[in-house]
Amino acid sequence: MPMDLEVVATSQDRPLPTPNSFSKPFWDGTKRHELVLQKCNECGTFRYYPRPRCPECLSGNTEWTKVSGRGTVYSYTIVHRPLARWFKDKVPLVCAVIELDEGVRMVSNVENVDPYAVTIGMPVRVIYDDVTDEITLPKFEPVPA
Amino acid sequence: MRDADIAIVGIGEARVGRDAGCTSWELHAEAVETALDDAGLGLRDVDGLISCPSTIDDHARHHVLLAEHLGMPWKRYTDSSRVGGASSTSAVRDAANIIRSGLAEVVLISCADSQRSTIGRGDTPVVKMAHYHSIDYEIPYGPLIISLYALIAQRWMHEYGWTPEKVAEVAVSQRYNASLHPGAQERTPITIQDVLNSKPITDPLRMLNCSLISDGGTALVVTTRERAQSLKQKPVYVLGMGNAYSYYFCWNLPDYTDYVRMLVQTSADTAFAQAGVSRDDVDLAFVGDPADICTLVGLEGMGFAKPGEGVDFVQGGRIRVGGDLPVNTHGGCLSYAHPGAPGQHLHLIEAVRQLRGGLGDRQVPDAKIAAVHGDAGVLTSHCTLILGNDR
Repeated sequence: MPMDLEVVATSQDRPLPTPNSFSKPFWDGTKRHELVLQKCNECGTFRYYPRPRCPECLSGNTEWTKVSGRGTVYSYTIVHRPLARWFKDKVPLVCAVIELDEGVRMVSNVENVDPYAVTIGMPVRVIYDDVTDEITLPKFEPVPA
Repeated sequence: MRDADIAIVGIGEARVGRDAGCTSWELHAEAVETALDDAGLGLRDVDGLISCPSTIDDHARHHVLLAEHLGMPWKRYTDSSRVGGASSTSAVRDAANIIRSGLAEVVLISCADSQRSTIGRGDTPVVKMAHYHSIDYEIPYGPLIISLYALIAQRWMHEYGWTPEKVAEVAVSQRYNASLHPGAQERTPITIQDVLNSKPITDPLRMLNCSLISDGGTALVVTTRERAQSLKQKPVYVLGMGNAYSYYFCWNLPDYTDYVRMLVQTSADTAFAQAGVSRDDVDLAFVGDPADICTLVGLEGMGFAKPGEGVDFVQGGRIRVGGDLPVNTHGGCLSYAHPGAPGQHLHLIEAVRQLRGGLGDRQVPDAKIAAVHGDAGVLTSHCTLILGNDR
């Protein structure tokens, strides 16, 4: 059988993002427990992850705008093998593509739910995982019925 | 059919499979020696080099360093092909263009990786992963590389009602093909039930839905039609080439079905048009297969299966050797090997072998035209080649 993936899962540290001059408003937002995304001032299209130009109209005229934090599961996978040692006691975890109500998609985790209960189209809302003083990861949970 | 001016004249593999026990540099050297021997050429005949960088041993000017390792510091042209798995077909495309423009006459393509043994520089796994994926927007959430393919598979299965039982036929067929190849990493036949019972990795993908993890090196030699005539092997001609490039991160794709299929189709249509051949002329096909879903997407995008019917197309042994359209006759990344960067170079090498003929049980009878589709970056970057043994 193929090798045990433990061989590649040797990093003990939790992998975390590194905010830069460009993405700082996004990470500052999550720290305040707000989901703040780039919105094109020309055509109104939201985009994620942070980048210089609108993928629809190519304008660089952008405003960081707070969004609802609500959306649905576009696709998901239940990850059974740890990517790195830090994830060892976190699996199985749900890694999902969330389609926000504003039409933009993000990769995140769906938490506070049995992984096997997650479905495509499931309504979700943002939650915040305050990992360090600097970093808060946006994650999602099912919207209660 | 187009009058082909470029030919693949040499192929080589080095220690493909489990733990090669050496660095990628040694694998490069071994594969290159084999490919040049196969062509009837020596290193001094080579004036162009394209490297496909190892994930373990990458360098800023990998191609220049590789030339130094190979003992060929003199050369007219070097570069690296950096299109992930599609570096296979893309490197042949680049070699063809380099030769056509007169920058080189004999181009060596060399690719090696030690993803299984990870012998090499020893970056942390997260750093290696970040080389491909977003350390800011993906990795903190714990997806494996293969998880990103699982996101695509989940969506296709959802939209078209594909069952795990039917999808499993891809893995079973690939293993059957690999059972006919003495060099395959996994040759023991498997059943649908074996696939369904294999370890869950990243739903809906289980162990046997995923590619293997291997070591190994590959090399190809590309030159002009004229030069090819005096060499050792029957030339395999590059009849057509096509590409389609899209987003880097698959979650940016506008949708995971129609849009992804359109990308493959754009690449394949360009290659077929350039070659002047139709789908009906194709004797066998190759699709880059980091996961089984890629084979199904590829067969639809290349126009062999109707939209949404890829999984029906593969039933009944149709993509096995002996079937209507044998696909990945060596067993592909699922059963032959997936050493990382060289994974899909092995598809090209098998295509060349089939078009040369004489493979015994594994030979597709009277094979004349092969369609080889390279995909990378979770089905976001594509390059198709149409190869033939008659110009």
